[in-house]
Amino acid sequence: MARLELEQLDCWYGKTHAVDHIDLVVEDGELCVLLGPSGCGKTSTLRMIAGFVQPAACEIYLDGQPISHLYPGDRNIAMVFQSYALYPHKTVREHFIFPLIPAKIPKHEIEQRVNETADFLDMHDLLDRYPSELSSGQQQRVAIGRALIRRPQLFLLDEPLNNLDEHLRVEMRANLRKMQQDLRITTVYVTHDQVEAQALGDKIVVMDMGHIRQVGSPQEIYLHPSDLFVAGFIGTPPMNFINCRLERGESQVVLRNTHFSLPIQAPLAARTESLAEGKELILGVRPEHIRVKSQPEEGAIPTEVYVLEPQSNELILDLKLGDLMIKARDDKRELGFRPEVGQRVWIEFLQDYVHLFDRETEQRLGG
Amino acid sequence: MKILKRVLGVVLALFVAAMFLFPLLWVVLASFKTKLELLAVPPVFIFQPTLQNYINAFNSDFPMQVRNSLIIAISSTVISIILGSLTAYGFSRYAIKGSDFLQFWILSLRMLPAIAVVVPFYLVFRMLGLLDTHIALILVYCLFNISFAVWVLKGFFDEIPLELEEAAMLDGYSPPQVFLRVALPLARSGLATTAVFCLIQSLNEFLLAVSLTTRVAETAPVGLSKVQTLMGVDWGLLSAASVLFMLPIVIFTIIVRNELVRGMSFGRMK
Amino acid sequence: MAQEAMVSKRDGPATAMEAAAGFRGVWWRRLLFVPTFGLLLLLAIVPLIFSLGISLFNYSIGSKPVWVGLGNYLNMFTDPQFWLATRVTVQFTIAAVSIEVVLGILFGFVMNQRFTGMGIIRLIVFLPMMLAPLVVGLFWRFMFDQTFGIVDYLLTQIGLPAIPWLIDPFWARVAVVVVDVWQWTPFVTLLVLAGLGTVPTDLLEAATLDRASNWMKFRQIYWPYLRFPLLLALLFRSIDTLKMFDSPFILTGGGPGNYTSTLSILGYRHQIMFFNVGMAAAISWVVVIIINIVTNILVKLITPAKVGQVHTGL
Repeated sequence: MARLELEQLDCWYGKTHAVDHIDLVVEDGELCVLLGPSGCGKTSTLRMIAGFVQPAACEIYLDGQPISHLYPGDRNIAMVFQSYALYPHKTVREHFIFPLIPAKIPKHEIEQRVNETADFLDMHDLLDRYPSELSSGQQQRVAIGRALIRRPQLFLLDEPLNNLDEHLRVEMRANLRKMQQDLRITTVYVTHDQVEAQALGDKIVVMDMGHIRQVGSPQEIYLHPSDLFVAGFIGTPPMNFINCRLERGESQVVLRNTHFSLPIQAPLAARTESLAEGKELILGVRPEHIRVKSQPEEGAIPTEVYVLEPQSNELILDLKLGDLMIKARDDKRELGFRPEVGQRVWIEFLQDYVHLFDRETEQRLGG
Repeated sequence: MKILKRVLGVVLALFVAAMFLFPLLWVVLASFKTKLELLAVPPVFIFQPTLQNYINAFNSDFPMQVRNSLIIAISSTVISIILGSLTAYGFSRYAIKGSDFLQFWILSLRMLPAIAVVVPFYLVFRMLGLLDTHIALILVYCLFNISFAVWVLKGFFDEIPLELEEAAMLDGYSPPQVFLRVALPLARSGLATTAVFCLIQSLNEFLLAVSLTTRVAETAPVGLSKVQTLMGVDWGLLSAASVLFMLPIVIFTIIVRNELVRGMSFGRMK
Repeated sequence: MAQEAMVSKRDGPATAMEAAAGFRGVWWRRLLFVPTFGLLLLLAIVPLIFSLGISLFNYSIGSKPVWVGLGNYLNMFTDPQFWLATRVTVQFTIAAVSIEVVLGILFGFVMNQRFTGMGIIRLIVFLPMMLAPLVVGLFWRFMFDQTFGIVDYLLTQIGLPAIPWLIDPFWARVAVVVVDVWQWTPFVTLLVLAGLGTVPTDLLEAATLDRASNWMKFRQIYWPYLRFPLLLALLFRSIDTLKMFDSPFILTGGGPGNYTSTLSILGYRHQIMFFNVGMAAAISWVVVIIINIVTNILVKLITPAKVGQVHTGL
């Protein structure tokens, strides 16, 4: 059972607290994505798992065994580096053979594994080429092959799709996922691309400034972000954040903003029960959860079209509300009309998908 | 107008090249002249070449001197490359207390004037009975060669991405194995370049050689400096010997011509 | 991300390399440094200290050393030969280095062109600095000869008088400078060439579009990229000329009348001819100190950001 447990993982780079006492569990066969902006500590975490960086006092368990005091080579872990780390002076075949030598694998088995790996990655005709003779995608496959040929218990990947162009990236993403599922290998995957994270992960760990902000499935993180950071990080275009204030009217709870007054229903209203009158909140709503109407409607907020960003079948509208900019994303057909710049339109937030955040603590009001 | 500039540029380049080529050609020419032709006034440009000078050179102590030079240079270079690459790698991959200072200290050794160590080495070797031996010069040249090698090779090791070594570590290779199987092969060209420069520097050295050797371990430059004989200076012989001695240097220069910047400026100054 | 690990080496967690030294034995890390530093200590520190010690004695080889304290140094500073040698050395340094730098810049630009055959031309130009200085001095001695030397011949051919190169105290020094310039201008040229190679071409193109004059181009675009290589050249050539031994030795033996004797030659003379080893050591230490001072000054120029002491050989 290749279960990975990180206990109070911690390290500093000079004056920066790169990783701040992290606890994490990755189940056997799970693909866990460490997601966050540059400098959040995701790569440092990965490197500590691999053993390239010695953390301050903490413990790492793989398959129940403590490994943090072990030399990287003794940990039974393999890694795909961001730059692929291929040896310029070795052929692809030699790349596959190289990891097997320290493990003292007998010659015939080496040959067998090389063939298997070549089959798996469809690289038979490339075995005698050098890295400089390979395309980016092919180099990546060599990096993967070289990592997996050892049949490690844990598979680490450091932003492996970064160097590929858009089309290849999407294709490789699917391939990686399939591969990981077929092999059922416990995997930790680092990326700053949240689209990638959502597509790949069984579990996403959102990190920022050395801390874990939230751990959950892609759905969970998307639908129930734990705080402002996670909410703003996931989703393209990012969630709209609007400052507002809580007001309790006679029959309803209202969110007041200089530009509008939005009454809210249960269950959203229920989340504000324990809060004081006048509490400063942040309203968060994703562009895809805003409906744009060409006619005024009850409860809809008037805005002005500022910029239009057409996508293939969708339209992203940048809407001006006083000094606020709100982005809405609607399917072209569902929209029903063709907006123009400067046109007055009315927007409605789908209340089932509206989030409220405490402006002070940045935490989402739970429910 | 542009063509004129181009032509001027080429002419200038040729002129510069000629300035540096001419003395060398003159020496080569001299090596084929007879004694009479060498001392002729005005100088002789067209003449019947003779190989007598070269024959004389081979029959003199010169071959022995060259042999000495080569033995000393090669031995010192080998030792220096081995030790130098280890230490350069150490500086590149490990943070040692006072690393910056140590590195600069090593560089400064390279710039040590030979005269500063002549006296102590002379006395010590005299005491140990090692004057006029190969081992004496080999050791002394190591001082300069090792410093040079460490400085240049560190630059080469710095250029090898650490990730390549990390990948090897993950595969189970111990740090010494990582050095031998990953770092060294990738630094191949740097090692070759450094070796050539060490060889050239060792072959060309004079002051220490002339102070620490007399007859047995005499190097080529020392032999060439003993110009004054009873019968005046035999320029023919000297020219021939000089040409022969310059030949390996020319070959080495051709080999490392692309790395000249690095070698001559001792790698990068921080 | 490998960058992070490199940065962390000094003030972050230990890298696997460093930790590994503990994993698989400390002997590896020791092997990397101890043999080398041990040997260097033996070959450098010990002799230098020994030399310092000797300089405090009146030691003629064959007889017993006699303690004189700073006697050698006092004698040296009152010896006109010493001051002559110092003057000569400094003259060589200033003359040779300044000419080499100027010519180096000029030749650098000339060699920066691209046309077929430039490769061979560069090879020719870079050859002199690879040769043994002794050998170079030797064939220049041949060329400077009063009677059959080619230099005087060529001078007379273009209408100039023949010069008593190796015989006249002044011209002998000129000869030494000529030889040094001939051998080492290529070195400066090489560094300049390397510096020119770092100039971004789009800067030049922009300047051409702005119709900048050649002088403007030089000052504003080229010069910033040449500063560092030239300072390097200045540093290395200064140190090497202060140490100069081989070429004046073979050209003139230090004469005439010691007018081409550098400090190194003076030291050598005391050792080999007078067997006055104590004095030789004292002189050599003066050379070391001079070089140390010059290096310090020049290195401070090169690395303005770096604060702290600079040591050479100590």
